[in-house]
Parts: sequence; C-alpha cells; structure tokens
Amino acid sequence: MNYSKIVHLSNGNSVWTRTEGEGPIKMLLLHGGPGMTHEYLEPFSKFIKNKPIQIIYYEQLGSYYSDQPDDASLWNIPRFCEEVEEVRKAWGLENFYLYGQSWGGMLAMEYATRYGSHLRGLIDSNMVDDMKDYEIYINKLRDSMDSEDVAFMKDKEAKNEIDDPHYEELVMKLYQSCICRLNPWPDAVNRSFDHTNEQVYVTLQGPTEFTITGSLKTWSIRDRLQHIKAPTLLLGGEYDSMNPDVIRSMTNRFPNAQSHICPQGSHFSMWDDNKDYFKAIDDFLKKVEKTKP
Amino acid sequence: MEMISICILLILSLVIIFSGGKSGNSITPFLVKGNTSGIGQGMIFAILCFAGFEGSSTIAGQSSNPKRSIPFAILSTIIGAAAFYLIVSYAQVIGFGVSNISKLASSSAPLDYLGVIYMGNSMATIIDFATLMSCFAAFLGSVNACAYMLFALSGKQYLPKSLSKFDLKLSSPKNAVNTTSIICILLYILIGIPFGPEEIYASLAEIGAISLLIVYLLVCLGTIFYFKNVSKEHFSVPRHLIVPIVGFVILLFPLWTNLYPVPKFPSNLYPYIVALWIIIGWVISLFNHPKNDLSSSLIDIKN
Repeated sequence: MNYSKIVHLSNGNSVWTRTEGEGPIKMLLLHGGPGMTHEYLEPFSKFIKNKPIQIIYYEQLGSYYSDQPDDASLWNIPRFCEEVEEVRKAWGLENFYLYGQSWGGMLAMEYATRYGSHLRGLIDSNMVDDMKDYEIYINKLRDSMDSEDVAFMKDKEAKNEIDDPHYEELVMKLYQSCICRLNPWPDAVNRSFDHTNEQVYVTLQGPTEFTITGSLKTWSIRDRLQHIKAPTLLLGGEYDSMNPDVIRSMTNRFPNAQSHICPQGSHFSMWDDNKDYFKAIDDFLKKVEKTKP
Repeated sequence: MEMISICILLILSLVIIFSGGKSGNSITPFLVKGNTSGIGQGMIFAILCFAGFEGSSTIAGQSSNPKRSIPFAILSTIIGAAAFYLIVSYAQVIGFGVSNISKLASSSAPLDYLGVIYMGNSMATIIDFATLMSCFAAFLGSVNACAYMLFALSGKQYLPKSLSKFDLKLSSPKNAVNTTSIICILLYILIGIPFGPEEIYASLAEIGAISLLIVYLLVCLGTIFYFKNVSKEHFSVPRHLIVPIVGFVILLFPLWTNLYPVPKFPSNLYPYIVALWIIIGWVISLFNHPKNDLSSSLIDIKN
C-alpha cells in the first residue's frame, strides 16, 4: 500500500517520506543535490512493480517537500546522518537496503560507517569517495569543452558573475553531457532542479557542480570504507561527472563490494541508461537475498 | 465538470485532515493573530472567491418559479461554497503546517504540492487536471454571467438593442455571448500577451473585487431604500434594515484596507479606474432612460 508519513525530527522540524510497493526487501532512498528532491528518483516506482520490494522515498530536511528552515548551520554531514537514523526508526527499518545517489551516496556511506549494523545492503550510486578526485575530474570534463567557452566560464567565475545567461547556457551544455544525457531532460529531472534548495546546495557544494567552495570541498571517506561491512553495490556511468575509474577502484577499499558502470549512463544513469542501471540493482538485490542475513 | 473538480479537492482535503497534516489538527488556523489590516486585505480574496454567487439572478426571467428557485440557488451556493472553502482552506493550512504558512503563501501550485505530499504523484496530476477543468468551468461561468449581464442591460436599453437578442435555438443570448468573448480575446491581446496572463488576471481580479465591494455596498443601501419606499408592505426591520447596515459596515472594512495605505503601482490606479467606470455608468443612466424591457418581452416570446 502506498502512503505518506511525515517524520517529526528531534530538532523540531519534519521531513516528508512516502512508501511504495510491498515485500520483504525494504529500501530507503537518499536523493542527491545536496538540497535536490526525491523527484528525479521516480523511475524506482516503475522498477519495483511486480517485485517484492518496498521503497521509501524521503525528502531530506531543507528539500522542497520537507520543512525548509532558513538555518545554514543544519547543513552538515553528522546532522544529516542523525536525520537518516531518525527516519529509519520512524519506519522501523531493520536489515534494510540504503540507496544513495550522488550526495545521497555520500550520505549513505557516512551513515553506513555510523549505523552499519542496521543495513542489509548499501547501494552507492554515482558518488566517489573523495571530493578532491571529483573536483579534478569534473574540471577535466569542463576543460574538454571549447577553449573559448572554458575561458569565458573561468572569467565569469573569477568575477563572480555566474548568473550571466551565456554562462548558464554553457553550464547546461556541460550538464547535458555528464549529468543527464537525455534531450530534453525528463520532467522529473527538471522538477528536481527547479525545486533545489540553493542554501543547502551552496553551503555544502558551491554555486555549480565544478566550482566547489562549500564545506564538502575537503570531504573524503576513503580511509573509512573498510569499516562498511554490508554488501555494497557501487554504481556509475561511463559518461558520469564522477570518474568511473575511481568508482571501479573503490571496490577494493570495501570489504564486500562490487561495482557496475552503465555503458551509456551519466550522473543520472537511472534516466539515460535506465535498463542497465536497474538490472544492476536487481541483480545485486537477488545476489544479497540469496545469502543469509 | 465543476462537481468532479470539487470532489477531487474534497478527497485530498479529507485525506489531509484525517492524516492530521504536518503537525496534527489544530484550532490555530482559526485564531486571529497579527495585524488586523491583513484580514481586510484577505477579505478581498474571500469576496473574489464568492463572486458570482448571485449569478443565478440574471436568469430569473427564464426560470419557471424564480421567487422560489433563485433564492434557493443563491443561498445554497453561499452555504455550499462557504463549507467547501472552509474545508479546503483548513486542509491547506494544516497540510503545509501552521509553522510553514509562508510556504503556502509563496507556493505557485499549493494543491499540486499537497497532492504529492499526501497522496503521491498520481493525485498531483489529477489535481492539476481538476484545476484545469475548474479554470475552464469558471471561464464558461464568467462568460455566461457577463453575457446575461449585457443581455439584461441591453433589455433595459442601456446598451445597444442587438445585445438583447435571444437565440431560441441555442437558448442563449448569442450576440451578448459573442461580444463578451471578443472583449476577452481583445483584453488578452492588449494586456495578456505583453504583460503575461498572471498580470491580466491579477489586475482584473483586483479591479473586479473593488467594483464588487462597491456594488455590494450599494445593494445594502438599496435594500433599505427599496423596502422602505417601494415595497413597504414587505419591510422587516431585522431583514431590511439591521442586516443591510451590518453588511455595509463589514464590507467597508476590506474596501478601506485596500485603499489605505495606498498600494503600490499599478494597484494604486485601480480605485480610480473603478471610479471612472462608475461615473461612465452613471452618466449613461442619466441620459438613457429605459422605456420597455426588451429582454422580458423576448423571454415572454420564448415561454
């Protein structure tokens, strides 16, 4: 049965959650951004049809369908981890799968290092384990654009004029090559972008995907991945803004992980390489379910 | 068509109310807090929401028992609409949460938002469809009401005679409907296209609401005058003196709060536009005394 639940957090705010599907496999979905919405994860509703899977969409605090307190001090990893734990308790989840995409993947890995005993499995989608790697790679992708365009963008960034219409046009051009390769973008992706909470995004990330000035700039979980015992699936895309080679190499840093890179996928592989992406998740769930918890 | 939209909104509202909304059911949405001028400014929207409740009176001439059916239609519209607005408004406030009221105020599609939160994406799509149907129904209703207004004014010879023509085959004042539709298209071309549909709606709604307030104020005064001087045998102190005076005083409040403090441009021009419109109507009525009511004779032909 599909229904919504408003989860009241201990800090006085509330977050929106909604479950779809029924079955013994429970999966909590963490969206990216930071500050985006669950909307771009809508393909999961189709994926779980006729499968014994119950998913829980969840809008993180600050995102469009949850409370949006105007308090930048709330946007940090430890507090978000506690928030995920409160959502888990509200739904009574034990032995569940935690899925996180992009920033959601970062949050899922962080959660797993703190509350890993509750996890049956972890799916880290389109997220590397070190921001420095990410910054180098995304800027490498940007530098592969027309040299005049790159010079123009860098000039605007130096002058702090990133609201320039041509600059925004070029950012979109880059995004269409590595964030979502479908043209036009699906409505759900557009809605997620339109509903992004800028305060959350800028505080943690920065003004764009490749100008990282937020508090995540120095983030790395590389030396802590060894503590994540839950079976883990690392998903990426060949055209992703996250280096697929780094995602492949992360497998060795987890005790029990496997990776899959979608050949046609970018950062939103659930859209631009939909079948391959969900087949990888399906195969992973079947594999884990065969083993005893 | 409108009934389907109403049912959809009621389903969503009841789901929100029974689920307790964001922070549970509460009396807080009914409590008055903050500045009282906000209530006056809000009343404009409430009056706009009720605008057209008296629309059935314009077709009194075509009903078989107008003295019975028209008061029933007007009263049931007021009571039904009030109950509906109360339920949906309360559901919206608790749906967003009392502490998130600014989010409700700034939301461009609050019911779509609540649809997603409480009943999922499918309900949001249904809500959007219901809103579209509702807009279309409201448009049809408004065009119809305007056309019958022109028809009635033309019947009284305040407007060109051709507008009082009633097409028996279509059962409609054809020329008045066509004229209203053409005026709508012209307004859209002149204001809607250059300034956007929101601007034309907001501007006309504001001008319309001020005009309506003045009409309702005059109706209050007119009621006292009519029953005191014309229909003396039916005069009743509570119904034809006290109630109109109370109504007059209540309606003065939103009118005043929308005139002072003087609103920003272009809203500051709207009271003058309304005043000019009233003067034009007054001048026309001074020089154009009605002789025969053509609409009545045409309806007689129909009957």
